[in-house]
Amino acid sequence: MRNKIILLSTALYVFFFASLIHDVIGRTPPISINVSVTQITPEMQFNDAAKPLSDDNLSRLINLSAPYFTEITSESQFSDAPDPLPDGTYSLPEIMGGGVSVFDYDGDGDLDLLQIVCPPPGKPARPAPNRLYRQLPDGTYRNVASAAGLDDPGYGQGAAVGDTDNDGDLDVYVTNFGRDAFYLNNGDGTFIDATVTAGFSGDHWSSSAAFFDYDRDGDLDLYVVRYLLFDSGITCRSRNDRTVYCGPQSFEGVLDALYRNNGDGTFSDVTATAGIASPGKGLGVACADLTGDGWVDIYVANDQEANHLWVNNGDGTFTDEAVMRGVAFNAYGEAEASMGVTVGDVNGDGRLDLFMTHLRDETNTLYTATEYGIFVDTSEASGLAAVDRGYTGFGCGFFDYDNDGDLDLALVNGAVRRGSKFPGANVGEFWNLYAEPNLLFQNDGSGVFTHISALAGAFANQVEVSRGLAFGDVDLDGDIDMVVANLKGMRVFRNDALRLNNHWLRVRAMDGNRDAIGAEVTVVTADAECVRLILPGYSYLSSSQLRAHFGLGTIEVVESIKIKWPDGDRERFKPLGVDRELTLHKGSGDAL
Amino acid sequence: MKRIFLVILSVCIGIARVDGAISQSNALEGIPAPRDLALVSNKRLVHAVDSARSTVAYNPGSAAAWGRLGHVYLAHEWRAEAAGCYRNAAQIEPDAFRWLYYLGRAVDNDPVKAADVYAQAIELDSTYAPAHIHYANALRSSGKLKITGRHFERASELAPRNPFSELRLGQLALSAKQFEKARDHLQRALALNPKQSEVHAALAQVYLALGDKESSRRHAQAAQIPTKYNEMPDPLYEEVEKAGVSKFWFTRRGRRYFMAKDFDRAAEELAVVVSEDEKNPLIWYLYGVSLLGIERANEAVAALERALSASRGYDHQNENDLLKIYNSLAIAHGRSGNPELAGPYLQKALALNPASIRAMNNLAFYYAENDGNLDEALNLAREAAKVGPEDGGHPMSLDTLGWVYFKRGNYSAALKTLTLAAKLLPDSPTVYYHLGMAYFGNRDNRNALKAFKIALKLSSNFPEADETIAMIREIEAQ
Repeated sequence: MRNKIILLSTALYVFFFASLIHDVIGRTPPISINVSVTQITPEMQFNDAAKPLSDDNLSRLINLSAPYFTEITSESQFSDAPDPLPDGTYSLPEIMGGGVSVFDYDGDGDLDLLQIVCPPPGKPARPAPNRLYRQLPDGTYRNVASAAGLDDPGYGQGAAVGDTDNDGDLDVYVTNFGRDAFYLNNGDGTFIDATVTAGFSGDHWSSSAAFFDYDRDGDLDLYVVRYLLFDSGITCRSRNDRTVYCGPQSFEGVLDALYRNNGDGTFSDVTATAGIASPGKGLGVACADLTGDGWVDIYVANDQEANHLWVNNGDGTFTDEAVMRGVAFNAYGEAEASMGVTVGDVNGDGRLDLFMTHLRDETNTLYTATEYGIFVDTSEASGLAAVDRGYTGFGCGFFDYDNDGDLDLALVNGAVRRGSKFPGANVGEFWNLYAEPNLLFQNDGSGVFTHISALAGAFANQVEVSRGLAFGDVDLDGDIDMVVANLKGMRVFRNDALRLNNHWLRVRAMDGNRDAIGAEVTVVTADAECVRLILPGYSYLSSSQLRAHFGLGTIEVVESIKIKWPDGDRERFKPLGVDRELTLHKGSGDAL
Repeated sequence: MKRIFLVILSVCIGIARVDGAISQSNALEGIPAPRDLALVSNKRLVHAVDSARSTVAYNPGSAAAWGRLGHVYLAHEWRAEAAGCYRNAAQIEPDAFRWLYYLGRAVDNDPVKAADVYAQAIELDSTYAPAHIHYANALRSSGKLKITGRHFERASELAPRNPFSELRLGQLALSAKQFEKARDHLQRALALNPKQSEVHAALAQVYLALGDKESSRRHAQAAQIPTKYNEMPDPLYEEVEKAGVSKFWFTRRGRRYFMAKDFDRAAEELAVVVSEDEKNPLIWYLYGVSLLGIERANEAVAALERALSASRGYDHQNENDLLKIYNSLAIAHGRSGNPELAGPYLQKALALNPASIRAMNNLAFYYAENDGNLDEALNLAREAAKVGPEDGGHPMSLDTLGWVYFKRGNYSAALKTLTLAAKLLPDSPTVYYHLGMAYFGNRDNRNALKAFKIALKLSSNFPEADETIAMIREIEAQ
């Protein structure tokens, strides 16, 4: 792990009290967010270290000296100068973007970053070239977007990443407020704009997008979420008659788009024939087998409208079963302002659960899958609702930040309506009223979460207007780091959380040359089975590392790894140990 | 305690009016005002705030004055300031339920706080059903599920016809995976309001969990149509809504009155909205139709023309909205004594959507009444009448078809069709007028007279009322 600083006192305590700390942090964190860390001075830590500490003080001590996430944006030498963002003009598109993608575009083994850029407020026509930050061997980054040909100048929103031509490198679909763009990776560190030749056209407001193989024909298809039909002539006012950003209810919803990969470099718009017939105001998407029938479904988070769950019928068509399955509305039957969405098994029952972010004064919503084919809104029982009601969430993701074996949760926030200024907001007078801190929650393994933002370090301390959030092990040290896209700029947060020798395993699932997006990977240990997905497309406008990451806690032996491939085939693999990344190829395991 | 509070208030505020030496701005000091009030350009709102603050300044011991100020703040999203005012009101009148109830509403974005306040309110008066609903919601949001159900049940006892208690109890049971119990509550809710989309949504889940996919699908379909009113009637909170003086509130009240067909009040509220450079064609449309509803046809024409011109610059104007504007304009022209101007709008409506039942029906009726193109009228009326209610058809099309038959002199076909129309639309005086004419055409004056009298009984001022009276006189004179 690079550049990690752990105070001596903490290190000593970790050494002597490892098991105790694990008990404290790993299972029942007693960390009170009400405790101000400033109450403990370094001298107090030193003096206290000479005598036995209470559990509480011990955890405080650890928290003080080792914030879980450290911002390394400046260390990484991003060229994105933190100029002040101009004041807003109350044009909706200016507060919705943009996203970030974490992927290895040049195949050199480390993760690079694609920042999707929007023009500044009031300058919608100004070219806003996206930035592709190549990671260099020393861990710094250099913007190579222009040289790589990935500097799309459109009004950027998000991106989807996947190998569409099965040639072993990752292609990129960029969503814009306007014309989208599709870039084929040439395999030599450059891209070619293949938008027209691939058959993509039209001006829309596209938001999130995701590659997946819905028809099991061995190539990646594409789902593009569209937001709404924006009309710049409409202005909106708050209840106290001040100009505000219009909400989605001021505009008409539109149809999303499903593109089938024809396998010859072109895509066909099959939206209508596939039955994707209900318009929405979509912002987030996650494609996974949410019904457990082996076919990948599409979940779309709609803004202030019923969400869609397009269930794959297995014959090239889809049926919206969101209402029937309990994921269209919250537990009160209300449509919420869904923005980001993430999917994962939060309670270890082998079923995929859904989480999505919402507006301030709404809770974010956790839909837990049941054995009855429906999902139940467990936002309140999970402990999340008591905390997140005061924030407007966008990017989000389940990830095992401490490698203890369960999925924790991070989300980034930033209002779309003026509010009170949060302490620490420093993004200008106008935007300070929109800036909100990000949140980190720790899962106890049963789907009950504890709010631990006070320990999240810079990730939660930077009070900004955040949108995109992507995950990946950018420093290749075995834990998952986070990249946050704000209205202005991007920040990288290195995972420095104490993991207390927790083990981990990362799986790259390959179907031929292609990362098998949509594969479900299950790690089998003596005690349990743990499911993770090869799923880059979730969160909000963002794309994450194409790996299934498993925290193993103290488990050192994995008995086997099972993979349910996107085409329905199932295989079992013998693992090769822990604390490493395994690449497993379809066809090389034992068929199940 | 109350006395101490009043003394403090007097010291802070009241002295100003005793000696008259302190200006009003000084008198207002200590009375909460929103920090961003200076940024509000709406003079009506600024005036409302000033006025309510002044009332408090002159009556600092009046709970009603504090409450009124709280209403103004709460209606305009100044929750913290509203909460302060309601707290003061509650201190002045510690036995009054309503101030604590309003305080709960002001802080209900913080469910833990709200639950605490609602509990205090209910201690004072446990007979106000909406308080139990809001208390239970707050309890549920703050994770206190065990006592949540009790308050939904209490609301049900207090207001047995309210569907919200059963809905919430059903949702609670669903969350607990008690599917049979959930189904029973939700079915009861549905019986109280068959159109409540939240009930259908929950039932869709329940039936899927119970393995009845067909019922699940049916309820999922019904859930797609949003409920018009998804809150319990709340007379106390209506006072807050009435305090709203921003465009938002005039629009909201206007829409609400419009939906309730209270066109007088709808026009009054919407007049304020359209007076402020309103660009939304739908608002102009609602205003125009409201004016039409209160027989101000010339003004309705002007408003609907504005709706039409506004819709041209409105990218997301959908076809259905435009269709409604054309049809309403035609009716407005007809009512304002210029039926010849109605035809072109009806033709435009049909051109916009040749499958529109409403457009076909209206144009057929227009041709029959004004234009004399009875062949085309018959074609259109037949087409419109073919469509069953499941496909958007309306029995009024039968009335039109019958009337076209009458105009063409085919009295027996007219009588047959209009008899059926009257069965389907027994409350329509126009249909009975047409039926009376069909009888008259068939020389059956006895039944004609009967039909005309039914028409007049149904309404004495429907559009054809004068003709109906004239026919009765004519028949009785024979």
